[in-house]
Amino acid sequence: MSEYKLELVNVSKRYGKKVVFNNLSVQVKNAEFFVILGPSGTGKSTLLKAITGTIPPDSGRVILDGNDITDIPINKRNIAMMFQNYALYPNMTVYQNISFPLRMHHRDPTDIDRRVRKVARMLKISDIIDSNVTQISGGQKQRVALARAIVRNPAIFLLDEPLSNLDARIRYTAREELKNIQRMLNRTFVQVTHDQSEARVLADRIAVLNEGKFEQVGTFDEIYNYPVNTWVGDFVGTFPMNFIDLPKSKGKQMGFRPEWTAIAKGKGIKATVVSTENIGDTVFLFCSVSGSAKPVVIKGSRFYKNGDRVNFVIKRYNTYDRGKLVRNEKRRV
Amino acid sequence: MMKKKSMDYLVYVAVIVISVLFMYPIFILFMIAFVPAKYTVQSAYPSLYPRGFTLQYFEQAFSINLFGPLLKSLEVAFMVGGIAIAIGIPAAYGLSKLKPSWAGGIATLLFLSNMMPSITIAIPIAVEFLELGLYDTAISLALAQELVVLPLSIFILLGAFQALPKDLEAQARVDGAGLLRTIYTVLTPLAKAGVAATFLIAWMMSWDEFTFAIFLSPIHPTLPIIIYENITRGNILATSAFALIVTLPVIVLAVVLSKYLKGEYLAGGLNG
Amino acid sequence: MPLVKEKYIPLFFIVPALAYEAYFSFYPTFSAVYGSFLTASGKFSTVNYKELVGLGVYHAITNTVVVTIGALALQFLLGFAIASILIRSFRGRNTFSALLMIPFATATVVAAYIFSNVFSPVGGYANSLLSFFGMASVNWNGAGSSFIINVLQLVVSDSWKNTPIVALILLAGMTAIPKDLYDAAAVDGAGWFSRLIHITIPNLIGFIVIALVIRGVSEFNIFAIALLIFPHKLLTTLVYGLFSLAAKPYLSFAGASVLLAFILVFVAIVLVLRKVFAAKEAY
Repeated sequence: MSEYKLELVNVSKRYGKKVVFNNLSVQVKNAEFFVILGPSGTGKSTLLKAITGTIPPDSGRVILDGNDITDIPINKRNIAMMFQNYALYPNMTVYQNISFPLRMHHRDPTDIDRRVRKVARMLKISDIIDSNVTQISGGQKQRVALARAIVRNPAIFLLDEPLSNLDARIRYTAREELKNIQRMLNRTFVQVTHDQSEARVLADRIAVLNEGKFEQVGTFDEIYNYPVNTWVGDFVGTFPMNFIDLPKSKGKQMGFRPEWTAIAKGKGIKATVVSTENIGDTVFLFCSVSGSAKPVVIKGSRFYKNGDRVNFVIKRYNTYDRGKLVRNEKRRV
Repeated sequence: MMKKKSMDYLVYVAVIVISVLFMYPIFILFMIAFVPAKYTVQSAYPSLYPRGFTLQYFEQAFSINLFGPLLKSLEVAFMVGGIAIAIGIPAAYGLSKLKPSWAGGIATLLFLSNMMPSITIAIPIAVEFLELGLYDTAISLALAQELVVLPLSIFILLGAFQALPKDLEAQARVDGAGLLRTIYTVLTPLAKAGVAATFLIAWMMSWDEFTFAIFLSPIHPTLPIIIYENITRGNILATSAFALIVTLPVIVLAVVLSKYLKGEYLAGGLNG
Repeated sequence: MPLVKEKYIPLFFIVPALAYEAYFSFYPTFSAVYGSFLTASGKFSTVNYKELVGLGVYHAITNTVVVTIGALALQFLLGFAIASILIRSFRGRNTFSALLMIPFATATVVAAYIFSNVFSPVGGYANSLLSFFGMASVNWNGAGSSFIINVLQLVVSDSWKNTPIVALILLAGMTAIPKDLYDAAAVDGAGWFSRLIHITIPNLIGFIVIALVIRGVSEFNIFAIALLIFPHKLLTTLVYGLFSLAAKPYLSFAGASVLLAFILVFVAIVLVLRKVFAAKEAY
């Protein structure tokens, strides 16, 4: 038994001259919820399909439970996948959809029936089990797709933006449910998403994918607090991380989150308010500051308006040298 | 408001004119079959409406050998439809996995085989079938007609396969279905309207086919050849009743199944 | 390692169809073209083509080209009109569209039979209709009948059977054009004609090409209808001529090659036109 559930070793894929990803390597641990986070169009879905084999990689190996599965036929890999649009077979009922993988694996009919009904109860879709999949709601479709993945008891679950087709209202509860199911099953889930709040709630670890390479792999806290480079700092977070040139050190910058700042009367850094954003309990100020091309976001209060001059202090920051995080930095409080 | 109304009238006038133009020739066939010849083809100016009624030609039509040729035509048409599906589905699936430009190129190449006149191809094929001992059999005629039918069939099926969501195929494979099972138990049922259209159009093309039939099946001819032979023998009146007998069922069939005879299917490969 | 990479397997599925067409269609075609340059004693020569000229191949070429152009023009005009009607919703639309199935389902031989009775110089329904309106009879296909009249009846007979297919394909194309485009153009002040030129035709071009190729190739091969309407070879199309030549293989190979050349030119023209229109669309 391998130390890792799933390993990608130097996986590359290109279409003509367009490189989708180049020499990607990553290890996913057993029973963890692993989220691949990245902006749209960075090859996240293609990466999942490289694991299932439906889009075979040009080079590199895919290793599941210590076995190289790169050249195994798609249907012989013990992988379940849930597609963004759920890919339910439209000519089949809910029951037939869920039982399809078991039928394909020639399971015993009574065993199939028992397992389908059990997983339907677990996902609360027993009442629609004989419905046609074209006539059920988006939330129900998502459950049917999940049920179809769970029923076959696969080695690993791959999920391609499984929540993005849901209404915002049910997306939050579906998200919680998905996490609970993963904990209950105690299985390895690999999900791709562009939604960082989804990644934050679901993931044990996150891999940040950008332009075909992993920028950083770690827990949300690690990635949020110590982004390895300015791109990750910029991409992760409700507001991008602020970067200000460090005085007297060429190429070095301070990186800090808005909530690491505080307004200070008469001391600290001078700034001018450009615009404000009220998120309910807190008001953030977009300020122009010397040493930063982009507006710097700081934690303020509702008393400030555009054009006001403010002073603020930075309570903690990371140092970046030519865009890269400098480790073991002594942090000022 | 006025303008809209006059447009509606114009449409109805056009509908009526075109309907009459398309209906009247069949009406003429009815008249020649059921009206005494002195009012139809034997009159200098045939009557434009029926002026009498006779079953004489209809009775004569049954003296024409109907059953053998009908059986042969049906046999060949079902074979042509069946082979179109059997070879067409894998070919169309294979093409749907290629880049659209490649698939289009190969489909065009297949269409090129339609361009050589059937007569030129029929003779060498006839020689070949003679050697194989298949000459004049239903299968030999079906295989010849398939040459013209198959490219269009593949084109229609290609459109049907290209229109299916890509993820469904991937999902079926991931769920454990092999390639053939995926094609036949997941994709083909989803493309069933296109498959039905293919079969129907292949069937009708075979039913209608004349040139291969006259060269490859002269001893046990199909219906179009029987009709042609009876016309050239001057057996005009009985032929009209005979032609009506073999045409009406197909018209009824086409009307009933007209939802599968849509242009969307004929122009199938364009969707890709 | 499996024997063949899985992604290449679908390619093998195309092989039976390609092999079948190659063996039974391409191979005889190439042998025919090759044979057309051989004499009976196996010498390479253009004598077959010279003999074809003596037999009036120019005449057959002219006939075929004129009939093809005429039939395509009529089928497209009428087909476009029918598609424009069917795209609207009106009472009786389903009945009207079912009526179109009548010619479509009628075998070519039967259609030819009907029209041979319509265009008969004596006892023909066309002349009856003319006399009903008080007009003189026309010598449709008797001795000394005019070329234009001959072409006209062949075109009409063929189009009766084949216009519905063209209409159905064009209708499919029109259905695929988003209605918003027309609304936007109307708001922008485009009249009926500009919408036709700037929206309908450019968006239909793919469908027009399909219909042109499917119909054009079979018009060039027009045979059964001509055979029945002109039993005395009054209007010999190329394939009709080939039918008479069937007993003389080398001559018939030459004739077939001539036809093939014309069809290839036709398809090339259609494809070039498509490119031109597609380029215009992309402005």
